[in-house]
Amino acid sequence: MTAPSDSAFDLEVATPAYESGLSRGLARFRRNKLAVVGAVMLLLTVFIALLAPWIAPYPEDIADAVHFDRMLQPPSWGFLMGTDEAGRDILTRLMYGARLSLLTAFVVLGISVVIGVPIGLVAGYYGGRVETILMRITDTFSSMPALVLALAIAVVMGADLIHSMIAIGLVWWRGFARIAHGQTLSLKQEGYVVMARTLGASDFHVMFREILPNMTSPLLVTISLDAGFAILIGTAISFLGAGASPPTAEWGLMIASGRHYLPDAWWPSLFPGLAIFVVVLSFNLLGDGLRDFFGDD
Amino acid sequence: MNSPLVSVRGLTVEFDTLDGVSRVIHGIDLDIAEGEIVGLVGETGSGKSVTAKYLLGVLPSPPARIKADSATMFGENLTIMGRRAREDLKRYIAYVPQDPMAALNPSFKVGSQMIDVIIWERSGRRLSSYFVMRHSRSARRQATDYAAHLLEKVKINNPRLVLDRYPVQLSGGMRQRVLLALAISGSPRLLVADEPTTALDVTVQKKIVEIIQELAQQEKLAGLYITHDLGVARWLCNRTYVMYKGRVVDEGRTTELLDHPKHPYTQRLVDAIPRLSERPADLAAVAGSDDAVPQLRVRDLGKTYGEVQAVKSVSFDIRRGETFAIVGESGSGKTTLAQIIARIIEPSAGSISYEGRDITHLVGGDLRALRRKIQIVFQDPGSSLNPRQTVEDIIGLPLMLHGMKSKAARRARVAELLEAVHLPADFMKRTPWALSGGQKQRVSIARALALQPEVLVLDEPTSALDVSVQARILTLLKQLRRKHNLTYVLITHDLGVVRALADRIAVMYLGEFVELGSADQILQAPCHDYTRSLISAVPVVHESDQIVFAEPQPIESARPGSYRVPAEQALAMQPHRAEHEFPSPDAQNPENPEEMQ
Amino acid sequence: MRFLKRLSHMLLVLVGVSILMFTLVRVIPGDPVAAALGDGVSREEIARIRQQMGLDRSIPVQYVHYIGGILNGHFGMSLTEPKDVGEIIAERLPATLELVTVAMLVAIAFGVPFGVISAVNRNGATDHVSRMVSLFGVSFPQFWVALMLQLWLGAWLLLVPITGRSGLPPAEPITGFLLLDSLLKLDLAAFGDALRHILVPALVLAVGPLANVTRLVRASMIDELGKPYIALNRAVGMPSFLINYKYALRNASLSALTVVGFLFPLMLGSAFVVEKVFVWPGIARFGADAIIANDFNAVVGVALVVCVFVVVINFLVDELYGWIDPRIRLSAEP
Repeated sequence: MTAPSDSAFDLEVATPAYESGLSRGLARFRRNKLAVVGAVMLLLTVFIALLAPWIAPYPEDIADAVHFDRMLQPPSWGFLMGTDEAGRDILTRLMYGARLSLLTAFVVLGISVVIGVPIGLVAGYYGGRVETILMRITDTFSSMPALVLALAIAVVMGADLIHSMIAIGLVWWRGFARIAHGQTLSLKQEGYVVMARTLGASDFHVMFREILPNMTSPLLVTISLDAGFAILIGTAISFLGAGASPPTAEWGLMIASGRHYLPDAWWPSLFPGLAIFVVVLSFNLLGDGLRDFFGDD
Repeated sequence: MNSPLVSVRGLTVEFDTLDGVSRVIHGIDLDIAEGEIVGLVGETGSGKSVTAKYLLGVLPSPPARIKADSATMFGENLTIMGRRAREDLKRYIAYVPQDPMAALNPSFKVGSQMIDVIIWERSGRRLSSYFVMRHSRSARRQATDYAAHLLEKVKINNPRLVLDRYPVQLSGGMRQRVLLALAISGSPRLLVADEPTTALDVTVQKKIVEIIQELAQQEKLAGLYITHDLGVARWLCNRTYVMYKGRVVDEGRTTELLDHPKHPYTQRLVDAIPRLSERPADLAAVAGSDDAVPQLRVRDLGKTYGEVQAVKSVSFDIRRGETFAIVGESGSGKTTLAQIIARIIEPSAGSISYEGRDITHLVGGDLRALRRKIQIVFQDPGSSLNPRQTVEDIIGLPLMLHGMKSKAARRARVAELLEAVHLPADFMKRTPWALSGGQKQRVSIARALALQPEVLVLDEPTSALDVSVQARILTLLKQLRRKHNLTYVLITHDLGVVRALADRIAVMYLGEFVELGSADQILQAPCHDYTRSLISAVPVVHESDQIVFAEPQPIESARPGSYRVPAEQALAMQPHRAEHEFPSPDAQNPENPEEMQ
Repeated sequence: MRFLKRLSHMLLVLVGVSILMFTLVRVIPGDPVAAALGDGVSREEIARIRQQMGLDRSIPVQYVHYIGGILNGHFGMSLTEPKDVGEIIAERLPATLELVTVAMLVAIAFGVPFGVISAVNRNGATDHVSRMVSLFGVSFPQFWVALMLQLWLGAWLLLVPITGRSGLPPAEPITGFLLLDSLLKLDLAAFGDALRHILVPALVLAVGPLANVTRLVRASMIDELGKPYIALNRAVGMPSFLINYKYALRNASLSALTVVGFLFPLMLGSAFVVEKVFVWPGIARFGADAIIANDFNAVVGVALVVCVFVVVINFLVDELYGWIDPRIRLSAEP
């Protein structure tokens, strides 16, 4: 049922099919199967990550344990994904790695949104000099491939997992600034924004209480899709040696360490990669689903 | 009577949407005979567009599900027709869409697009021959000549020039003529026009409808004309169907239908349109107070944006309690003027004063104080309300910004205001998504009344609403005016609205007033040629409304403190004319400003 | 006029990039020399090297020197090889360019048709398959795909060489692009060798971008196909084939163009991991190795070169965009 109509017959007391936008939204969301799959996979990942200390088969293997007697064992019933070069169970380390990857997504997006959205919002709202300067800075950051710049920053800060997360965040804000800027430019023409300004609302009120709430849809879509990217870049940085260092159970690092034992021991490199794939895929499914969902609104 | 060209019985159309299955057309019957133009009238959601699309054969078949008891077109049975045959049938149907800008591909020149269609038809609609012809120089030249010939048929004076332009370089009226020319290019038998003039100014609309009438006669076309404008239907269509929520509720010869409607819905539609010839009973004989100082005084107001003068030099007074209407078409500058009066923007020249105080360049606290007195209601209800806020927040915003700190106090006041606009109090919790167009506009009005203003600037308050809803909003506005002794500054292009509400009218054209006088005088005995052309372009709905202008009366002695344009001066203020046509202000033809619209 | 404005914009961005890089190289690390040389080096030694590198002057002066050096091709001394970073970059640049170009061609040559077919058969079987495939394509970590393909195709199936750019002794370079050079010399054996070496790395590099291109082209064609002028043409009876490929594609190819614009930086980024895995002798592998060695000059030098490329390409894409879309061209007229 679409928006209520004004026909001459109705008494102009409209009764929409759903009480609030929220329940209507959930019903719509449930119809997009792929998005639901993505959401479920993501929840599963979060679940595993949170409960890792309790459900992992060999919790002592997450750090620098060494078991000389079971190094580089292929997958077996005792070690479902085999063991790595220090004899540690790969499945266990994979579960802990989930924590780090989700943390990466969280930190990167947190930093990017907090820096990028206000910059775009302010640039779009005030225009003129302010806009030019802010958007030039954004352009400068936009011209640099994320991985490259993040690498440079991470190296300079000192190779460390946290540093690499921060480095990515410091580069990634530009996308959000762009989106916020574009949205602000179009939203500020809307009647209710003009109304608020003429009524004397402060700039802060107009920006954050009138304009910002109306750009959450594209932002949410981007956040979900970017979470996947953040994890891809984060693991790549660790793979290259500028992020996590041994013996951290980080997925990219695990692949890098496992690389030395190819082609004979294929399992230390295969499974972490699959894990990355699964998590990034779930974020992408969710993001696509959100995009379809909001796009029709 | 001839056997019908098109005959449909029991048509039903359903759509699969994200919110479930929705039935859009519920078993309608439709006939179009040869040589007749049939009107299809309805408000939003009536299903008229879907019906047209069905006849055109462009309803995408999922997600649409179509069923009909019987359907014949040009003697062929539509229900059992295969896709190929259906596509072939399209050669006899011409289509004129609503929005001419969107209907022309912006990346290609007009000539190129016309040639494509012409060659497609000439090649017998076969891909292989199409490609061959498209690349043959002589075929292209012939097609271009034919295109120019078609453009002449729709009264375009320099067709070759137009062929060389991109759609973005032409005005709305020009684009619509191009589409009309395209429509008749293949010798069609049926013309399907979907609100072709809704987006155009009234004077441009008149021209286009005249062209359609002529073409239909010349080319012996039958037509299906979709519109929400009863006046156009009366003018152009022999018979008309009235649709409501996917059903046909009334039909008949158009004049008969409108003068003696059978169905109550038709009656309501007809009643909702004000009669231009009569003075509304509830309009006071003499409006406005007799104060020594007028409430609003505007002198030599001007606004320039870069090189464009949106408002040239405007002067007038408004008395407390009167309704002053500013009437004009697109590009006249009336919206800019409204924004200046409401002090949303500052003028580049001239002055405004309110109750004797100069408010032209107020800022800061003084400006905020002024806001309590002068408020504005915007045209588009969809955009004036923040989709993420509740009605309570929206109406409460001005209260909060002007000192009402307590949430409970605000809530009480919001409830009062909702009552004043006849909305139930529990609407406070709703978001704009859950409101209809008319309800949104009422919320806009309630918000404007929150600070108890004395002047309301109404910028096209009903233009975005369906006809029957307009009538209700107008009634509401009249009630509120009476109750709170409000002064209205009404900006509109709709003469019906003006007739219903206005005491005095100023006619605006290209940034200046060409005529100013009482509502009776302007509507019944206009002086200026532009005003006359504007009024005579409005298609008449009620039989009694055939406009016959009386002789312009000499201006009565001016009331003290008021300011009017004397008739002689009005007659002298005429922009350049071309064959009694006034170029529509939104013309974009830099080469030829004399180009008719 | 507009051109000049955009040109100056581009130059401004380049200046910004250089300032950023300079900051990374000089300002942040504190004492990069000490950090790079590690412990065990005497104070005097550090001070001497600092003076040699010009690190004892004020920051603005250092910046000017830095820029001057860059424009002359001097990016600073590398700590991993006894050469200036600029020289090393110049040596290795063609390898990276060749790789990225081939990958770009693959991505566009396959991505655009996939996208178009997908859009035209919207919601059909082909569309769903193609959407799933491209969704998967953007979800794989590239370094992992590189490893797996190297393992599977190279080590297990022995179909392609595992690493490197060429199995033959180095020949006299004409363009520096092995594929072109061997064709120009009509040396088919060398061509075949170069092709076998470049195949898998280019494929890996192209996977993500190909998926992106497909999605983008699909989305913009669907958008275009929904527009009213399409309905008009359909009403006239124009066949779908014509409508799709003539009108919709023209307008949609604009977004395909912007795809090149944002593909390029993406690829240059991924090149770092791909070159490392396949031991491809390009600037990205050099950069990757430099990271582990904490060779600041090298890392930042490579980053700078990459960014400059990206900025210039973006500028060219924008110019092309304006030229193709008449709306932009016409609206800019006075």
